[in-house]
Amino acid sequence: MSVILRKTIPSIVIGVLAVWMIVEYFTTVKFFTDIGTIFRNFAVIIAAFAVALGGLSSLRFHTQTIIKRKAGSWEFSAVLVAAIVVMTVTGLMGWLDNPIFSYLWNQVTVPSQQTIYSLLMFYVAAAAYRAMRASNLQAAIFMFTAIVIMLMNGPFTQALIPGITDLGNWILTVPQTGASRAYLIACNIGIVALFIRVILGRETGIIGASKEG
Amino acid sequence: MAEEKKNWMNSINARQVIFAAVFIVTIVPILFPLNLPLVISKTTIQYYDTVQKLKSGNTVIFVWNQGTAQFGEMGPPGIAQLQQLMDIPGVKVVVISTGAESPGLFESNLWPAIDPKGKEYGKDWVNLGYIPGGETAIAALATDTWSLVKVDWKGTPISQLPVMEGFKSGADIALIVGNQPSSGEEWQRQFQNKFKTPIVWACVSAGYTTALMFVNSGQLSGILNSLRGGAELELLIKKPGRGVSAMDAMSNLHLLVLATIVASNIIYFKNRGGKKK
Amino acid sequence: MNPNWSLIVPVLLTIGIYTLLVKETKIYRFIEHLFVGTTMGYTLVVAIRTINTTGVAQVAAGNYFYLLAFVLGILIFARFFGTTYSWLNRYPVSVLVGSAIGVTFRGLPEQTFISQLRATFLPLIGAADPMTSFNNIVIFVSFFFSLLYFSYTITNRPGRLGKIPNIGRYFLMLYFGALYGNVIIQRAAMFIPRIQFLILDFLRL
Repeated sequence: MSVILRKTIPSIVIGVLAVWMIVEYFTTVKFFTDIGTIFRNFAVIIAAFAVALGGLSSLRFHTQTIIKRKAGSWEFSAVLVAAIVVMTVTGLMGWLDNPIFSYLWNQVTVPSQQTIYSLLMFYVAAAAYRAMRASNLQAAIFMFTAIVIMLMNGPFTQALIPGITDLGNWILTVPQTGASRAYLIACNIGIVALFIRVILGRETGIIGASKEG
Repeated sequence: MAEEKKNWMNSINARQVIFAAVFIVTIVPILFPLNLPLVISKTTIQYYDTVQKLKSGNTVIFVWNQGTAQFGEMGPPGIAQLQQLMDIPGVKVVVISTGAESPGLFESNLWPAIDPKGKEYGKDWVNLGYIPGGETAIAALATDTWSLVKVDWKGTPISQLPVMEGFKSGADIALIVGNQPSSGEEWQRQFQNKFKTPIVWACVSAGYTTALMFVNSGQLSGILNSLRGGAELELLIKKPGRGVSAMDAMSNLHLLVLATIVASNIIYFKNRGGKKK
Repeated sequence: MNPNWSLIVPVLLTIGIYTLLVKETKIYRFIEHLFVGTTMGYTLVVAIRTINTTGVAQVAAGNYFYLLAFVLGILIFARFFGTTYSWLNRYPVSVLVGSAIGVTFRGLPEQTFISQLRATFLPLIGAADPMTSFNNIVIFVSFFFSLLYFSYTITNRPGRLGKIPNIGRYFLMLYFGALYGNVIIQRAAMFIPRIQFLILDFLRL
């Protein structure tokens, strides 16, 4: 009974929903479309709840860190929890019309997130110095292509090196397209195989069920 | 004294030099812009022409799906895209986000930079906000929009928004204009497969190689290559902004990376030649 | 120089984050926790608003059976109920996974396989002009050998037959090189706006 509730029924739900969506696509029978619409609307509402899961998990973890007074981290966790609480309360009281929420969004969140990701430029430049070596023909092709694509994107380098734009465009639209198509098709064959396994209930890890249940 | 100088020099490593160089080569062209002419790429021209073919009364979906991290890169193209749609008289725009951070960015960072050219909210454009569920939500929108969407992002019932009369399913959409990190494959599967809806897209540079495949096969009618594509579109719609002003620094950074690669290879081959001896 | 002092907070946050380039400091950790907290708080607000616009609006429109979706939505948080009941979250997850697989699977063959194969199998001889024929041949050859590279049963054959798929690796290196070049462009495009913010928006130079 326990295995039926924990594993079998969720697997059946996945299979039924997936097959219904597929059959619906190939029929014009209104019954299939109406039920399919209800299933999709259910999924959208459940997904709305799932959006809160990350925030609540983070809140739970850091609250526990504060309670346990973990040395060296509880103070930072207190900052995080305070930020979550202030942001949530002020956001529910007017969204971006609330001055505190608007300030924390525009002056703290957006610039900080952008800056964190901008650090990647430094690491990519350092990585190019350490890793981009033409040690064999394949590495040389890799390096040459990367250089051509980079140079064709800047107006100064485009003007400096005649023909770089045409060469770069040819590489992108001809040999690169063939290779990337093959890569896409190979990946999607794997995805289709995985989908079939999930629909047939052979892959329960996707819902968090192990072999034992 | 000489020992102290030697120790100081030894403590500087290549990484720190590269980091400092990244700052310098970016700051200089922003302070002293060269304003070099920009060659507009074929895919951007395709994008622009496809959007310009829209007629009065057409309903367009503007997919705004960027996070705060990518806003610096994709904000300028997004502003140019939405401005082009607002510039065309009579075109109705439905803004949809499929990422949680997108509605906040739209309201506080994107929309304030737009000149609506007299277009009224509710009558000519609407913001449906964030619709969770990824491709399932897109499929729901394509099949029966009014079944899924009951209110807009502000909570106004869509029955009170005249613009939504023109969007009951995917068949009513004349064009999908997207701004998203990936190349919009889920919109191709749910809208284009069934309704043959043309799609134009702006994606991050890392997704450009994949997106080109879809341009080549005709599934995308035009693509903007992140900040560079945004700069090109800014020039085409005659509203140069942050995209155009970033291009000089872009060239410099690429030259810096090229210099590090060349330096790295010189050292590598020199050491390899030394080892062989 | 007439700095825009109203932007001093984001400027200090930006500089504080850039201290990571030297080493991880307490300032950086403080800023990191601060913006992660504000982002999480924002996400919670969006989640509540979205539950309102998608779920509550459905019920308010008279579709009362969508209350079942609310029950399933709450079960998503079953992991917080302890290990005895955490398996209950499999029900809403199975609804999400089942719908997603179904809608993706039905569109995948046409969007990926048919359209892309149609665009690959083009006239190799007698196209509009010699350059187009040449390009079509290169696309086909590149596609064929790259796809062959992923056929692991051929790669494992002994002798020369097993070496044929390796030709595909050269074309894939071309693809990955183009991808890497675009990644560098993306990182540059993420970095330049921050410097524009510091110089043009804050310092107003």
